[in-house]
Amino acid sequence: MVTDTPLLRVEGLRTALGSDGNNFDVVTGVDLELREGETVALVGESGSGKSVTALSIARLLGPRLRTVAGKVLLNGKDLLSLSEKGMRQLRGRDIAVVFQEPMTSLNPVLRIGTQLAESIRRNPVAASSVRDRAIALLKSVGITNPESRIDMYPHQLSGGMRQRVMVAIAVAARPRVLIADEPTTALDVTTQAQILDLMQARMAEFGAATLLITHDMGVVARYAQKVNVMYSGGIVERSDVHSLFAKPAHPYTRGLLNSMPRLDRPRMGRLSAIEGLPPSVLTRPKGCPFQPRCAFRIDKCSQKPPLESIAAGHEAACWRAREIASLPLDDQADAPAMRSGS
Amino acid sequence: MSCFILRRTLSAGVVIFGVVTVIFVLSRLIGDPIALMIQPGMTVADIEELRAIWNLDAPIPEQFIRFLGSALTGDFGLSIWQGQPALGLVLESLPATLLLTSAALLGALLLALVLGSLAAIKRDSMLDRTLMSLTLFGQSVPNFWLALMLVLVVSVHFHLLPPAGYGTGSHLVLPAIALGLFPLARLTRLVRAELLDVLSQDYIRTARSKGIAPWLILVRHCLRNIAISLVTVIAVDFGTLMGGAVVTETIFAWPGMGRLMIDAISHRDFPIMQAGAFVVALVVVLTSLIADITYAIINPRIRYA
Repeated sequence: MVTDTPLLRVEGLRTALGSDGNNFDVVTGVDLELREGETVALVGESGSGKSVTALSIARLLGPRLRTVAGKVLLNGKDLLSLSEKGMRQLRGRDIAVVFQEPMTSLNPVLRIGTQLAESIRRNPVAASSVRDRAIALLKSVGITNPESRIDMYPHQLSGGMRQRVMVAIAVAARPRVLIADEPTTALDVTTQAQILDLMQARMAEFGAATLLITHDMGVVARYAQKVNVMYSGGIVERSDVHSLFAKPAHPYTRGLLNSMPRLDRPRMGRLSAIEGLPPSVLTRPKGCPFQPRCAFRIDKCSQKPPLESIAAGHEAACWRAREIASLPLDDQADAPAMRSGS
Repeated sequence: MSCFILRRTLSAGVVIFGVVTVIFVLSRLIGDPIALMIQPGMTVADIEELRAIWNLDAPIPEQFIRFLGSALTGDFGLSIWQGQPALGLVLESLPATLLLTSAALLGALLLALVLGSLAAIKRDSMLDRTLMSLTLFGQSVPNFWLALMLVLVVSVHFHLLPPAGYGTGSHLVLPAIALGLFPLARLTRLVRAELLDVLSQDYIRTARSKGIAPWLILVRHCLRNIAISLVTVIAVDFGTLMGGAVVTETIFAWPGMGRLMIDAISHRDFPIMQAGAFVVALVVVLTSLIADITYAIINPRIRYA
């Protein structure tokens, strides 16, 4: 199913906060590629610009954010140059979104069926069969008793149920690209896996591509084929899942992996955390944005490292990427350095 | 639901009793109606006889008890000035007032939905700023002045609409505008503010992500959500407008309750005043009951227990 030409290609995407006069870049030039049938993860801490990237692609940014440069090519067509009307015709059918907050992303005064039908009607369908389609969709996302749930209001459903409805709404018009913006962050762990499994299953049915945005490395390992690690508005490492987990080349990626509890390693007391906080868009440091928190910092880090290939299909934006990739991934090795780092 | 209705009925009873009591006391503070009926050549005995007809010779507490007793049976007594049953006179003039206030409020609501939506969608544009300045004007203009200006310009100068009277649709236009401008301005601001709030909600972003038409997002997703606060304000405005109608009706010679009440007050016609206050209180209480029921229909999260 995976083909060579990308279905969705993002080039040099820059999205800024504020009006024309003083812009602060929230997304500082992101490139992404998404092929048919593929799941690509975008990982990073809160505030790294993941969600803004996702919303920029679907052109669903709020009033204070604006995409100021770049291209979003869907099958070669630049979405950023389309009129609002042209973009609207693509939404739902070509590009759909599952949002983070199931509690607030459904309209509280409309029945589930009504909200689902809006997506179903994006493709030509006989009015009489809309309800049957809606019931079938609810069933396909694991909602029991869909015949009665279809007439319920969002507040009558649990968070997990609502997110299932959100997935049903997103896949209803069989989109070619699905952007899942932390689809399970608000849910408990057992529900998380169910929702992600069925989202993958629905997308696999019609060979669509998924951009999975998450901060959960466990989710990445299980569902994605490729990973983009985002930090302070830019991609700092990009790789297939195996090499990223085996040989992380960016200190930030190492930090993320080390901060995960692992069952396959001996217990070593405290989990290591990355010291400090990610910089705000207003106080982003010169050069490498990670350097104030980095244990591997050298003088050269005051110049911004480019995203460079270090192995086949593996890129990283760090001056010491090759060296770091060869280090064993082990808490003890860089823990003291990490601590003295700030 | 039945418990809810019972509770509402009880509290409505208390409200109406309070209004009727207050108006009973107040009406007796404004003077003696019999004094206006005295004619040259009447003897003291004649005057006492007139007093006795309306029970005005009894002590005030006794008058009140008697009044309450007959009011419970729907009898508010005979009009002192016109000699007919007071409640009948009031109910006769009620439709004209309801027509005027409903027309004013409905027109204001429909126009406010359009103007408020435009202002919210084109936020901070020239259109938005112009509309907001106009609403400030609309809320500051006294309605008697507006009514007089409308008559002067539209009727006297341009001869477009009748200056006063009742009967046809064209008679309704000017009084409805005079009465409706204030709620129009208020509702336009409210629609704009509420819509700006709703437009920033996550579920609107979800609706946009589906690629449905903008008008559908506005009508189905936004307006239903703002309807809840609109209903509250409209219910309150309806009561206020029935009061405001007094001035408007007087200026346009509209044969409604407002004019009847003004006449009653100038003739110290207690029974009409009491019946009128009762009917207005009843209408206001019913309006707020309808508003509460409407909430439950619009907002599925509200269920009365």
